[in-house]
Amino acid sequence: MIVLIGQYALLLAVLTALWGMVAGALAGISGSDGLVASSRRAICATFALVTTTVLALEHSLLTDQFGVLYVAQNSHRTQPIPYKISALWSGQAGSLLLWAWILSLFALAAVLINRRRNRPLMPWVQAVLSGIQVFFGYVLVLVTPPLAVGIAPADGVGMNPLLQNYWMMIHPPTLYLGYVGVAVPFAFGMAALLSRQTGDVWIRTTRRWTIFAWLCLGTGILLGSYWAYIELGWGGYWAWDPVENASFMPWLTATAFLHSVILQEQKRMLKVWNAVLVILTFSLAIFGTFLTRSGVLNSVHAFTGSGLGPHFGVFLAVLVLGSLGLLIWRLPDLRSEHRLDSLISRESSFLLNNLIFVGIAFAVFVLTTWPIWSELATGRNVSMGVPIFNRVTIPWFLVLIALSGVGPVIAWRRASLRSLKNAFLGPVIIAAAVAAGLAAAGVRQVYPLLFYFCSVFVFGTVLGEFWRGARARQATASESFSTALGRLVWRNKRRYGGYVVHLGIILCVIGIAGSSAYKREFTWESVRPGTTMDFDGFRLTYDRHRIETMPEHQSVVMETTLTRNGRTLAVMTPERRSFQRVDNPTTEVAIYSMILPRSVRDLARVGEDVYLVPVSVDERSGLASFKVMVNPFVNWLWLGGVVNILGTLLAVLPDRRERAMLALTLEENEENKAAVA
Amino acid sequence: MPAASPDDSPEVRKGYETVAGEVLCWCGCSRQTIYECTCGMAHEVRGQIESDLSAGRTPEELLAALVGEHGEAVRVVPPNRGFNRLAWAGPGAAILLAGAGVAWILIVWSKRQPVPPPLRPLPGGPAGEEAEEEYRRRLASDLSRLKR
Repeated sequence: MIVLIGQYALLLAVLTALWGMVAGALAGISGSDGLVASSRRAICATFALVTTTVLALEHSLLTDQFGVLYVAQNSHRTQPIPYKISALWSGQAGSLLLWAWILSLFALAAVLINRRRNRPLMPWVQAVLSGIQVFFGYVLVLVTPPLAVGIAPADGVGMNPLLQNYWMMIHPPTLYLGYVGVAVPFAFGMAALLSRQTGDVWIRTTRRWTIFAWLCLGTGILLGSYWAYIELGWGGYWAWDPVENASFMPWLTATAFLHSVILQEQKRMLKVWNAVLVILTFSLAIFGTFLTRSGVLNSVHAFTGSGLGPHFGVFLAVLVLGSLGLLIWRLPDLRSEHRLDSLISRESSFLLNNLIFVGIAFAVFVLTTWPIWSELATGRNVSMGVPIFNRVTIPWFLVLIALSGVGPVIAWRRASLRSLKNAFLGPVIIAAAVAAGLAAAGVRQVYPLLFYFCSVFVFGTVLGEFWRGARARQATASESFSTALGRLVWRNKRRYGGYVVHLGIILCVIGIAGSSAYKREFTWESVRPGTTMDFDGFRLTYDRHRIETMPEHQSVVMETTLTRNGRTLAVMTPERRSFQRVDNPTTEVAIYSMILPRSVRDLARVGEDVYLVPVSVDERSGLASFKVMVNPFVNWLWLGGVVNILGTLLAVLPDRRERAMLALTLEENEENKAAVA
Repeated sequence: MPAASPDDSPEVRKGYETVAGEVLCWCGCSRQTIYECTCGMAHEVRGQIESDLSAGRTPEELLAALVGEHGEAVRVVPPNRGFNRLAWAGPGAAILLAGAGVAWILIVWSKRQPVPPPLRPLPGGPAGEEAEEEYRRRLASDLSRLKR
């Protein structure tokens, strides 16, 4: 019964979304308030109906209704309850249902927040968001129905053991919040073009949506990396896998967009470019779903076989061609005065940063899809692994990082030689000294040296901004330094939130550069319990092994003790797990993180991980093979992610001045309209 | 793990790292090399590579044999030749080209003259005073709103 309710609710959701789209478009053309309200009510109804379907599927998962094919494929009786819940997004149909549900939630939030604002834009916003809902509803009803039923097996297949991980429970929803979140700025951008309200109202209105979506995309990527690091057992966190790249590309273009909108807000420049970026970002979000769901990367011939590929392909084509066509049609409305006072200015640095963000996104796009082009051109399938991505992108990342230290500090319009010297000379000298120190200490690889040079430079310039701002406030308001700093940040949340994000990114860079360039590996084959293994100043003792039987799997646990200079640091217990329904045993690594130094000599090891991989084990004798990786600085990456989140939250906190600016812009628009009338 | 053991010659160890690091595991893992993958099959392949190298086969021969058996896609990256050269050099060249385009646009924009402000009646005249008054009123209103 509940399954039936869920199926009908989804069917009705497609109809309400269809009406939301038609009524919104008609309201946009005619200006009818009644139709706007009707479209709004349709959006509310769509949310309620999609929520009903989600609840029906969750109910089926929690009550083991294996007659529902999705439940049979993604759950089983002994699956722990948290994983039964997260099975909603572990399969294709469930993931798309989650996509549709988040979209319906965001559409609801967008129309309710703007119920009494943005009257000219809202009908079209509602039409665009409903149109996207129609597509996802159509796919869920006709192509991959999440509540399709069949003959019920005695038990389900269950979730892939690799997905049974806490981080995997929160990684996909976070990422989807980002993917779907960019639909809102996209809808406002399209509404601005359709309604010919091409000023910066749509940009100011969607600023928080854009930042929220960007934050979710970035956090989702980082959570996925962390999951890969602790679950896959190869000691890395990023493999330039198509699924990873699918989320990275919209993140890159969204970052470019976040920077370029500042130019439109401050200088009324780049209106066309901003529209292109919002189209590109949303198209890449859809492309990511297409890429990972269509099977096109396995082979171009799998494209039609997957069932989903052609539908997403057509939607993507309509989306890209339609929105770019609209943009070209409205080009005369988007004319803005492009004038630079000087080539050395913040405007130039922002344009350069945009070029590189989009350039890297382009490079990732080309390399990710290269197997398709290769198969089409030469008939041969190829793989694109880490080395080629690194070789193509790393130099550009370096430039980007350097720019992240220049952009926030260099003056708008024209930077004088004196101001450049004041802002950059100190950080450059410190960065050069650090790089020289590292070179003297034996660091010889060029890229790590350059990355550390740039990182110290950015730290210097950004912290210098905090210092100068607080000192200037101190001088005028006679406050203590800490009060001046606190008030400075609080009264300029957007600006200083952005600086904190830059610092977070630099922490990530330090983590990535250190853990990639200076990773050390050690292997031991066929060691018996009682053996000690020395490596890199550590001693690992393989104490014993034991067998644990769980409802779902059997584990061989290897108990080891990690010591350093005679002091016990941790008992590490890696496992090899054998699941009933899976052929190959899975690996559970053990990680010891050196967050705080135990001695002065260990200062350089702060943020380092000892990563213990059980390669094989004989469950009777305990004879085992181990691989140990020492990953320096890797925890700086995760710390950078946290700093990033904090900075972003600071930047989106309510701001009186910003609200006043938006109200002023809206008022000006109304006055202009009245004047024209 | 049957990685090259300390007893192996440096050539064998180097060859082992070359082959195992250049071939993707085909167990269904997420694109890890034979060197990295923790599955049982990769473990066996590593052992086979090591014994083949110790028996005198060259890394090139082993790579060619693996590509012959599993196809070009088994290599972690395609060789930098033929059509694939475009993948190695294309994106970087495109960014450089776009960079040149942006530089040109910046130069054009920086050479543009500032647009003169619209002509207004001189202050003092009746229309000028009215405009001035309207401007002051608007400025005061905006500033008070910003202060709130």
